[in-house]
Amino acid sequence: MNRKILLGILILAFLGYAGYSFVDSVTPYVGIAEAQKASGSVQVKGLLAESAEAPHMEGDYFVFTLRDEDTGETMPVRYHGAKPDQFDEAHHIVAVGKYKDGAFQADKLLIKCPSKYEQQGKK
Amino acid sequence: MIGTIFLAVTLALSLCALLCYATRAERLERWGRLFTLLSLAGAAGASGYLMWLIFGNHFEIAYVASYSSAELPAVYKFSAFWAGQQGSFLLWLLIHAVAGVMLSFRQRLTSVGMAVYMFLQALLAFLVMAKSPFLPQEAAVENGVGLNPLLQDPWMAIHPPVIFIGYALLAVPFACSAAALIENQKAKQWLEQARRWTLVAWAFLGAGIFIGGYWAYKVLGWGGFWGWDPVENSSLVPWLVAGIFIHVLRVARVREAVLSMVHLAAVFAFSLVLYGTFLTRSGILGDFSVHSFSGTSIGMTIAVVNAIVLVSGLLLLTVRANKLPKGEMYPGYNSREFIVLLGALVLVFIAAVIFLGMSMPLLTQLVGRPAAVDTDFYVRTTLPLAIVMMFCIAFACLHRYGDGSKIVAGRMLGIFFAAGAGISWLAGVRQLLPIVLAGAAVLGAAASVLSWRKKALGFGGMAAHFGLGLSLLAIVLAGSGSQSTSRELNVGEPVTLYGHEIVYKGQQFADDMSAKYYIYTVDGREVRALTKLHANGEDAAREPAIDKTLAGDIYIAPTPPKDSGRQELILKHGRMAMDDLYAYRYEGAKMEEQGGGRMLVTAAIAVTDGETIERVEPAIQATLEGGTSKPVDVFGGKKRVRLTGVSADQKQARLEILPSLETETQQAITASISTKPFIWMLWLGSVLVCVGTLAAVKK
Repeated sequence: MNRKILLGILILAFLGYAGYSFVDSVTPYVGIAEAQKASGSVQVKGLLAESAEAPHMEGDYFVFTLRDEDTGETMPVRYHGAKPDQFDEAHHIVAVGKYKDGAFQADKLLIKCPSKYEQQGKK
Repeated sequence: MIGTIFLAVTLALSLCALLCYATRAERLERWGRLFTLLSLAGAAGASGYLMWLIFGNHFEIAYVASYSSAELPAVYKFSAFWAGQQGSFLLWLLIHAVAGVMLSFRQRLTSVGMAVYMFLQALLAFLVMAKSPFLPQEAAVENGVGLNPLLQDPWMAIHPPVIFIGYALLAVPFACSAAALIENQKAKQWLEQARRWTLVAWAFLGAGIFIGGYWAYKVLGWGGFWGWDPVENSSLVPWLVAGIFIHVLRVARVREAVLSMVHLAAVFAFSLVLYGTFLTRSGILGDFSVHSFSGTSIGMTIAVVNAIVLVSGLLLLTVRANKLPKGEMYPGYNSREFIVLLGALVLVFIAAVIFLGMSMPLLTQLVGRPAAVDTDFYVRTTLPLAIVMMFCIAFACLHRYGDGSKIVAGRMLGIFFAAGAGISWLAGVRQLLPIVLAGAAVLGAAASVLSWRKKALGFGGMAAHFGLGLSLLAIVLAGSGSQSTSRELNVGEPVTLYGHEIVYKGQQFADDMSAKYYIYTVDGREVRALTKLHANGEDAAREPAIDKTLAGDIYIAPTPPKDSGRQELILKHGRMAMDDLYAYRYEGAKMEEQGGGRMLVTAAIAVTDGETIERVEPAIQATLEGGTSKPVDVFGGKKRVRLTGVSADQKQARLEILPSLETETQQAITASISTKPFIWMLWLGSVLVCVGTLAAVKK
């Protein structure tokens, strides 16, 4: 019986840990205004703002400006890494990270490109 | 039209077979078998017809136009069949039908089992019809878009069929389990058959997942093999559940009370296949997954099919639950039965957390604001579980079924644990949990070999568990032990990194300009990073350069081009425009209709360096789908010009001025270089897992 209780406690402990990890790693989808206020990690979807400074490398960082499709707000994004493949053909860009020091510090960029794995027939 | 008829016939025949089997009458059963065979003919007819459309370049069919093109090599035309979701559904149906014929003629599933199986086949045929690959293209095109260059890789050509064999065959345990419940079969009657088919499904699904990971490593160039993307997770979860099925089934052979878990695992394995398909094909993940398919209306249809399968399976199990054998599931905590069941429970947890994570966008969408979990979540939760799983494997291997007698003294196993942990420490791993996992992985692998030597584990089981241990050790070493840096590399200048001398040798173009290579040497060995090019010279797909040694790989990620020194000039008729070296004058263009919407546009350009004049005629080969143009050398190749456009009134031309090939190929680049210690062990381990799983079929 003791072992059953032990096993139960271990399972509960794991569930608690999993629940904590889960809540901790949820990254909600937000607009630019909200992203600038958010304290935790968030995902922002937008387009490359063409009116702003052209995307370029600053040391190890790839820097560009993201524009919210609906509101038109813009926000500089700093991504630690090289310019992702197919960045130029991107339909949408999803940046995952935190807003800090006047720019969105992205840990990850998802390049949404309709042609990446399934190409659309050109009309 | 012909294709749709084939599909409709397949659907109708599947239903006929279903009805014949469902009567359970001897006379009608023979008809059922005939209909089963004919339904395979229907599915094969539809598949053959699609293949014929692809090879015949019938671009009036939307599917062919989207995934194939006239100039696509034959082998990739073959794989264009399953490049898109419609074709891959058809492939699934075809494999399902082939297995159906084998089940009805050779393996002899019971009539009820066949009825369930044909019911699933009818659902699949319905799905293919709902999302038919035979729909016509809306606007006529002369050539197809072609297969994505990233997918033009031998591994990616076989990845989908291998995965779909796994998916399709998981219908067999579902049918076996449902039939056993309906007919109150004794465990002996169906467990062995379900076991063999599931092992094959499991091996193929595993192989498909590993091939996908290997391809991601070798082609995509982000440096990893697993990204916890929903598309990847949605195939991993059924694989884990199939693993649960196999393990609880093994225990059920000695403890009948475990049978209810076997049924439960069978229902969930196939339901999760459908759920994964729903998740990745419905477009719900559109914003969260790098490679989910774009949104389509098929989502609801799959959701309904999925619900039917899951609910009917669970309902059947509930209704029959009281008829299932009861009794003791395990004799004691030190028994192999208990430890295997505990391991299966750990697998349930692993599957559950991944399921939860990948379903997050769907669940949150239902309650409001969509959200996703960070990939960290998966690592944090599955890492401790993987450790427990490896310990379960080790301790299960040490005991025999039945009496629970021990095979090897537990004490000497501490040595193996220490060895694994020590190896990871030496490889530079410094976090606690990965080190413990490395120890547990080596322990599990060693225990499976010891158990095999004492004849307490079959050869297949030994190979699979050994392979799993090896893979997990490699994941720790290549993941946590990896070092990475970004460096600017000048041509010919050696750089020493992580004890290796790396020299960038410059770029080289393939003779037909279809690709270029970034050439490096690592300790004198030449490695190349391939970049496939579009016909207009732009990058289509970039692959990494990988130097493979026994100690691990040096992985040089592909580099997006820097400023290539290219420049665009817009020239008005008769006027000059200059770059740093020459002046260019546009002297007119001619357009030749070549029939079928094709047109050749040639511009006359005079180039001068101030003393001599050289005349060149760059051209655009235009079709309805767009144009291609190749650069033309001027002044012996010191510059190259490419025509990118001519206005309709021919008063303006647009030229791209490229630097000499020499300048372009000798530019410095910024490369991201990383070490992947012992990554070959992951590939070897994965192969062992699949081979072992297959070897376990015969027992």
